Amino acid sequence: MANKKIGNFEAIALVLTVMVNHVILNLPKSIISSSSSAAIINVLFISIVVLGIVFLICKLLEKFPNLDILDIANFLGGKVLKSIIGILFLGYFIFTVSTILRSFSEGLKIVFFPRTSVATIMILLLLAIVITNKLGFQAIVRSNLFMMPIFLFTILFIFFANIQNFTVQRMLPLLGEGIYTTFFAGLSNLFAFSGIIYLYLIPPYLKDAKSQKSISFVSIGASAVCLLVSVATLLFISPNSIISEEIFPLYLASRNIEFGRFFQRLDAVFLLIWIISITAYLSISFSFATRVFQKLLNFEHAKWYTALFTLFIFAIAILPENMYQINFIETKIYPYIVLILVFGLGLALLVFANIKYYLIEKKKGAVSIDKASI
Amino acid sequence: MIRHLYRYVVIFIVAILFSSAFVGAHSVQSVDDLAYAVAIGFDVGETERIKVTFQFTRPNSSGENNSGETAPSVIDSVEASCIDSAVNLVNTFVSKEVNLSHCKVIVFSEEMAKQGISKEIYSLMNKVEVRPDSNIIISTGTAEEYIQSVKPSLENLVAKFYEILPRSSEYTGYTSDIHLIDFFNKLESKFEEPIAILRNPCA
Repeated sequence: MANKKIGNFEAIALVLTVMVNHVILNLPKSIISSSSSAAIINVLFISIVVLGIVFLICKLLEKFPNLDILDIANFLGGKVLKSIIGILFLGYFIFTVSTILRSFSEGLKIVFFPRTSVATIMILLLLAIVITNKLGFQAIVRSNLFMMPIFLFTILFIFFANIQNFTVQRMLPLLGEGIYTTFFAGLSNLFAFSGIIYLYLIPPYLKDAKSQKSISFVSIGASAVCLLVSVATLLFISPNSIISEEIFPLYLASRNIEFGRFFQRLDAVFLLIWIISITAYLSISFSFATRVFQKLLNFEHAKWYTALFTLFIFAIAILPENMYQINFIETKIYPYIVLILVFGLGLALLVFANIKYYLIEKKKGAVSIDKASI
Repeated sequence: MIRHLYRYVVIFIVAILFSSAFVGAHSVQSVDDLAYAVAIGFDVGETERIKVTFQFTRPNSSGENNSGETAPSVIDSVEASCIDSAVNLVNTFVSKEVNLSHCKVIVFSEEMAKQGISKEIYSLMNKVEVRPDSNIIISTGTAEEYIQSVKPSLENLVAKFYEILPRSSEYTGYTSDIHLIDFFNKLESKFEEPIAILRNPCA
């Protein structure tokens, strides 16, 4: 495990990569569709709420240093609960990788490769994922950290380069369709911060367990800024009707960028960077899927079943018949899975584990929960 | 021995998978296989809803012409119910596949503009090939007349002429550089009205 430990910046980039890639795909589209002109207010609101939740998670994890959610589930309910939680998390990662793989491949096909089959694009991306996973977890996390400034730069660049095309009045009326839609129904947009799932899983990989709190706040704070910037870009640049039609809404924004007659059509560069970004994200999620599986079945090596996982993900990714079904999965199913698993089940598990911890502490005096005691 | 065999099998599978990416290479399109439209014109149709005029540039026409004459372009018109049908119709009789990614101007006749062009603007915005920075022009005559009348005297390439012309708004006050995205945004806006460049085919 010692050689698999990751530093603070690597951990921050790891959590941030979830937000960056969902922003590239269609997260801002979902938020603008549900909140219309109040999208910015809604993002600010859910960011504050999510920072509160992160504070709660950090507090709840304090008693379980270096333990991930599977270890905590094992502490709370033994092997049965650990298996249930493990299967749910495994299912989440496989579902996420499959959906994003298919969605991005379909988008690439429409934009750049109209004559190439989606399966071919998916196979190439899956090959990249398998090769990076062969290189190891640290290689993936480090290369992700290396590329993260470039990924973030593209999002910020699109915002600043488009300022001249902004119509700021599009954020009026400020509360969009009303207080209820913006603040209460808008709470469902918490799914945007699905990167929190990594906060449950990274503690065993951290070099410095004490920095868990700062990693959590910095990564989620940066994710909130990233989301705010992308939502503002799209809201100010185009009407809602066209954003909801676009495959990659941020790509639409990048198509408007030009600097005189010399620098035009920069969108191709952005798409190239985003292909690398998506590959990094898929590799990380895939790596976590294999790790959860490995932990569930107590396997020592992950090599032989990565190929099986790849085939399984490919099989799930080709299941949706068309873009309508993919959009339905992304906008109607995925958010609820995140809300239930990350914000519901994950938090409930931590709360109950803490209650059990205090009950044991009360019974036996001060105890220290670590791997040896589980 | 088995370990070596396993390695060779993995290398073989990876090679097969990689080569699958190039299976479609025989159908890859090169620039020579595409007909690039530099201008599209929309008029009211006689038998169908709209009459669409495409102006294509001939590949390598810039290299052939060193005498200072304007490079020749090809103009084709079809009547169809929408832009997609029109592109499909043109594809049936031109030898190359129509590509709109280098379309510089979109011309509407005044008559068509008066009837309403929001359907066409929506269709164009939803086409990935069409750039949002294409200029919108309203012709006082028909769009076909305007496209046929464009014979730049100081420019060899008609595509460059279309690109430079609207930029004269930077040093004159007689025109404006209106892009498709600006036009669409204003069309959708609740507090702005869309405007376009007005051109006379006879001028």
